[in-house]
Amino acid sequence: MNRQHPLDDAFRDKLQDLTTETPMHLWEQIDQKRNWKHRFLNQIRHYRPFATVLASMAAAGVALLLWNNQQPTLTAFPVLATPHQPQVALRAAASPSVTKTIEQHKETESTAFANTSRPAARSPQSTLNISDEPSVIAVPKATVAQSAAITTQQSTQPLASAVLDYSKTEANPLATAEQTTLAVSASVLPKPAHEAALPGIAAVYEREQKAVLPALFNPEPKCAQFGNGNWGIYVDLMVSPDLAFSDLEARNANFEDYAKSRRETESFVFAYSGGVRLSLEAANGLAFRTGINYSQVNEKFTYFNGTERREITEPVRDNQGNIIGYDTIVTVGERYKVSRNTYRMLDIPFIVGYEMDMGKFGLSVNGGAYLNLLFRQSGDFLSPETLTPTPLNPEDPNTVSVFKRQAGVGYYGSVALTYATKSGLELLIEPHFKMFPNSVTQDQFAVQQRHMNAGIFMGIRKHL
Amino acid sequence: MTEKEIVQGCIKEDRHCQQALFVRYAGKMLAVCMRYTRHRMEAEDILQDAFVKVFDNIHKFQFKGSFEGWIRRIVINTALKNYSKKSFQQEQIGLENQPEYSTEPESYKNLEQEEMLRLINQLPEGYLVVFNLYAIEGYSHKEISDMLGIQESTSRSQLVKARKMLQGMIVKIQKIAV
Repeated sequence: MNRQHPLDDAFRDKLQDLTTETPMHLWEQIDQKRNWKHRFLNQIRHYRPFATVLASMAAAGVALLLWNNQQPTLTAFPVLATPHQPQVALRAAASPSVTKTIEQHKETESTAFANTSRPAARSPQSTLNISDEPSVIAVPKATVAQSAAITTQQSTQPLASAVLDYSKTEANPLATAEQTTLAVSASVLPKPAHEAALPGIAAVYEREQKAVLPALFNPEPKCAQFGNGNWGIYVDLMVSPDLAFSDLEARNANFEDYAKSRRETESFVFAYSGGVRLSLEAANGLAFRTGINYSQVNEKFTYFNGTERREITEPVRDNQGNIIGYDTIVTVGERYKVSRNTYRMLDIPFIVGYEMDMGKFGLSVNGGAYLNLLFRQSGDFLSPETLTPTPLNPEDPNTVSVFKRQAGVGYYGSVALTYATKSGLELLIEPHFKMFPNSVTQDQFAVQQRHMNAGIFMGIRKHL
Repeated sequence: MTEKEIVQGCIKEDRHCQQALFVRYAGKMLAVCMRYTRHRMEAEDILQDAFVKVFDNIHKFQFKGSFEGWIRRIVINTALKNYSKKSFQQEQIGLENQPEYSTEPESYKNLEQEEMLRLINQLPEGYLVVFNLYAIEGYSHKEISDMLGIQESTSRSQLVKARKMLQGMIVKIQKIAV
């Protein structure tokens, strides 16, 4: 109790309970100040446990809707296919007229090579020898896999199908471009063994759906133990510098060298993430958190090839302008390219935590799932077919989509420390990790690529 | 309506309950606001802001302790927030050389409420706030230092100076009356 001065006593006695007449226009002004937003928010606060559950369900619903709408389309497959070469061969096998043109092409090309003084090498196309009878075509090794993929797509069509001869396969597709043979037959033959192992599109959908649904609708067992104690709603605003780890793994031994080349050409630069999170905390310390999280990983892509070959095919015309053949010119030179790659993710976290109150400090342990809504990329990467730079962006017409549009469901774990300030805000530091166990590349792509982030969220927490 | 019914109605955004709450406490809270400001208009603005906060946060009231005390605390905090926008230090007045006034405690009791309010309003803002918080609201110097972000010693010296100044003003009033 304060030690009182007689002056204090006199003022307190007379002023403490003093009442002044209040004009009612003040009430009207207060009523006007408290617009519908105040009232709506207050209602939400009143029913906050229900509102939070509803908001979470709505977020999950939106996530599922977006998820379903953003699955890759059939046109994106097969990712390993070269759009032109095998199809030309197949069409050629089916049409005698086209075969003749290609034979002319072969003759003209040979002439052009004989006459040119530029450094040139014979193109794989120059060994085309297609007729109505089954014959042998030399194609780069990488194309072998593409052809297999094409067979997957076109096996029901009455066209020629491909049989692969692996007897001469080598690790480097450029060095062994002319060593692998592809036999073209007019009859429909059984699918290669590795092709049969590839899952169908329906199976891909089904597996991904099965992976998502349990994460969304099977609650943590502890959730059922929420009591009827006091509830608190908090909003977290936070950003984090991250370390990102990308795991590249070949799907089979044929792509080990490709995976190695990818690792050598791509290096981590920096990453960051940020988000807004809503937490519903029970009096017993249990907390449920959800919100939206954005993360970006920046990498450097460096490519150098001292003997890169470029092929230019030009039509050869007669005096009347008719095409009488094609001239293929191959040039060899150096190519150096550096570009910045970005991988961007938008996720919805579903996290369960346990809060421990220690006066002004608070400690919490959190774990849960991150449902990836969007996964986008830009920059360049090595093409598995030619080992040359290819755009990452699936919207780019010069590339094929090798990445999934969602990274799937990831795991999240963190330990958070909070400090309550006088202003009513809490400072938040949260070391965390996030890992997506499923590959972000398409199931038919040469390598599996997985992402993992670790960082320290720094931000503020506000009690609503 | 009981106080609990009014509060529960306010939580449900019932306007009649909100108006009832305003009518019940506005007079007393406006008087509190007037002790922290020099002008009635300013006090009314603070009262409005405080009642908006009361209605926005009424769901946090746990029905433990006095509801009037809870509202009063919000009103005082709102007044202090308004006060902190102004420069605390600029209104310091050097009262170190001000003479001590000897006044009888009985002389304070003759003062009317309005006169006391007028005297408090004549204090520099720093003194006014510390005197209100310590002498009338009953906060300790430690609490005042936390609320205002000042040293405890500053709070003590402000209180002593406020008392001196008030005593001087009371003596002047008594001389005029004589």
